[in-house]
Amino acid sequence: MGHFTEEDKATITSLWGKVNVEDAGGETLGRLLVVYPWTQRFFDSFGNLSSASAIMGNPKVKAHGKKVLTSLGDAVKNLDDLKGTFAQLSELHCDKLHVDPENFRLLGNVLVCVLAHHFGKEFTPQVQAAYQKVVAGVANALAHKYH
Amino acid sequence: MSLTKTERTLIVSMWAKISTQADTIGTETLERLFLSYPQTKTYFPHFDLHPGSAQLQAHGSKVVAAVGDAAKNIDNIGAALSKLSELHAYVLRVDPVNFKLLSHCLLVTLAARFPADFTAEAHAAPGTSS
Repeated sequence: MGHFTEEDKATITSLWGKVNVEDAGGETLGRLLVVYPWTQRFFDSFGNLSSASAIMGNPKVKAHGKKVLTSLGDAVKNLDDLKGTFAQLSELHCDKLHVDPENFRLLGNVLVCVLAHHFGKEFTPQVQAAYQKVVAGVANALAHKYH
Repeated sequence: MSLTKTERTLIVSMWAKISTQADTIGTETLERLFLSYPQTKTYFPHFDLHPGSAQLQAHGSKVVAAVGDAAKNIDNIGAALSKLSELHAYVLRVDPVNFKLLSHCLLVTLAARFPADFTAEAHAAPGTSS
């Protein structure tokens, strides 16, 4: 799949160093649930998801978003072995959580939008391209153990 | 899916802002598309795709103008874009998956340029009309 050049890795790591994982996590998961409302199907226990502002302010969404993005931080540290890094999570998402891997692609693209939103001009086309590789790699790694 | 009044207002007002930077937004969107999804370049073998190329700028303007038409005819996008749809389907024969890639890159461009306006609601609104 995606091969990360040394330049890609430097770009990816340098930007990630400036990401507030807690804020970005809540933002990313929240926007996923707002923009693609069917994804709410996995979060019945989260309470009030009745409006965009309810979702974006929901403390469970924020907490879970932080969890998800922390995990993505692991990806950034292990770009050369995404499949290995996410093997257990892949099994979990298939066997226990029953999540269609398409959702990983949706989340990845929402993250890219959130990064663009936060970093503005700094999120150049080149930086975006590097991050599209990351999110595609993570989505594939998470889908890899599905059976 | 049909648009609510709020979404309609959001799209129209976003468009008002976009149109002030239409050309550069179009060019940036295409640049992002070709860098993140190099396979999309296969539709443009006849173009000079280097950043700053006149063809890229001209085509970027065209694309954004079409999005503008869609925004202005938000209640009847199918009819407004029917000629373009036929062009892309029968003449250009572009695989429809590429339109999603393009709209993602447009969203990213807008997110980077209009941080105050790119709220979660604004992020969601264009999707309901595609």
